[in-house]
Formats: sequence, structure tokens, C-alpha cells
Amino acid sequence: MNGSNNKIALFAGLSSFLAVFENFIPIPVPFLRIGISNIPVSLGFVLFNFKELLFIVLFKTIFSHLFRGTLFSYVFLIALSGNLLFIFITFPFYQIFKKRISFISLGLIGAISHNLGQIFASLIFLPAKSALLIGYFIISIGLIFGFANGYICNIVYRKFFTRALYGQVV
Amino acid sequence: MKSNATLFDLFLTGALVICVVSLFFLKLFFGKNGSTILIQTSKDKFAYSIDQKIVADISGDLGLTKIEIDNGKFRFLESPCKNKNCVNSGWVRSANFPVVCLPNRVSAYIMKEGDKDASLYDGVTR
Repeated sequence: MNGSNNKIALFAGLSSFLAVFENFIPIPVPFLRIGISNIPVSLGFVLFNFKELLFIVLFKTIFSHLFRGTLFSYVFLIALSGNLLFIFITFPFYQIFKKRISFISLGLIGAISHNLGQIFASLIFLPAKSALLIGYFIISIGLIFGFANGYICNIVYRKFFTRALYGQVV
Repeated sequence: MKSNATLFDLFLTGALVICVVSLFFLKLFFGKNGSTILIQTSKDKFAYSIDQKIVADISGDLGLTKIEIDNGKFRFLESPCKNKNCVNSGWVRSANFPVVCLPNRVSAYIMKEGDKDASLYDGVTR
């Protein structure tokens, strides 16, 4: 294992806490999420392998929906699909381009894959095709939030991670 | 992993922004809207061609609702309901974007090209 169990638990807990916490942040459109819970997951790309990241993402999804009371509903299935597509697309992307990208690219690709997964799942699980109507809007806003999250990840990575990982500020 | 924005980041951001903006304008200028407007009341269902200029009088539970159809768009012109939310919705040009008057039980939307509207039939047996 690349990361210790303590680190995995810390990142899974932090991500789950932020997933629940972001429900309390008022957003004008009810179905939108800022996606701050993905900040620890994105930072985890530099620390963990695929299995460990998958565990963090699954833990976050299950815990946050358990807390919201939507664990056994189609909302959970939609969120799970988004998270799984996120990890299955973003991880190979990171592995291929990790020497050329910062967290901004990771945030953008993560936001797109996350939203696409949710839209596909909505088309499968919901009888109405309303996801197609708001799909363009969701992806557009998702890109803005993905960029912002990536920018925050860059700051956190620069201030806390690089010194801890490499002993200097890169 | 770099801790500052790289050229790749800027390129990817620019490419995605161009894609999103292009899609918006493509849909705006070349997107096909529907050709039929479907109007439903508590008792009846009506289908009108959207490419005409008429005012349809639809009888609802409270009284007469006037729906104006004007070459690709429609609006609720008059309604006997109290709050006039349906009238205040204004013109609708997009397909699958319904306007509903709950007190008078009248709803209308433009059916998207190629869509089969199951609600036109009471039931289908195979």
C-alpha cells in the first residue's frame, strides 16, 4: 500500500465530512453541489493507489447519503454512478499526464466525468428525460466549480504537501 | 504533479470553454425545436402545429384559457386563475419546457422533433 491506513481514514473522513457540510451551503439551484468534498479526493491522487482512492470515494458516497437519509434511493444510485465514472476516468488521466498537469486539469476532468456519470444514470433510473434539459447547464457550472476546486487543491498542495513529500516548496 | 497552473491546464481550460460556448451557439442557432404544441386539460388533449399564428381557446376547470401560438413559440395570453403564474411565464420557444396552470388544470409544451408522446394515448397494449 502506498498510503498508510491512517492517511486513508483521514482522507475518507475529511471527504465525507465535506460532502455532508456542503449541503449546508446555500446554492440558488437545489440540485447543484460545489463539490468541495472532491478536494481531499483530488489531493489523494498523489498519495494513494487506485484501490485506496476507490475506497475513499465509496466511503464518502455511502456515508454522505446515509447522513442525508437518501441511501436507498435513486439519488444514491445517481451519485454513485457519478463518483465511479469520476474515479475510472480521472485516475488513468492522472497516471498519463501527471508530469504535465496541476490539480486544475484534474478538477476539470473530474467535474466533467462526475457530471456525465450523473446524467447517464439519470437517463437510466429516472423515467423523465429531464436530465438532458439541464445537462448542458450542469456541465457548464460544473466546469467552473471544477476549476475553482483545482485551484484550491493547488494552493493546499503547494502549502502543505510539497514540503511534506519532497522537503521543499516546488 | 505540478503545484502551479501549467500550459496543459491552460490549454485544457481553453479547449473546454471553447467547446461549451460553441455548443451553446450551435444549439441557439441550429438547434431544432419541435413542430407540435401539446395542450392538456383535465378532460382533453389537443395538438396544434407550432408554425402558425393563432390564439387557441382552451376550456379548463375554472374557465377559458387563451394560448397564443406564434410561429415557433407560445404563451398563455389569458387565464381565469388568480395568480397568473402561467401568463407571467411569457413566451416559450424551447421544446419539452412545459407551462402549467394548476388552478385551471391546463398545461402546454412544445413536443421535441422525433419524440413519441405517450401521453397522447390512454394506454398501449402489446
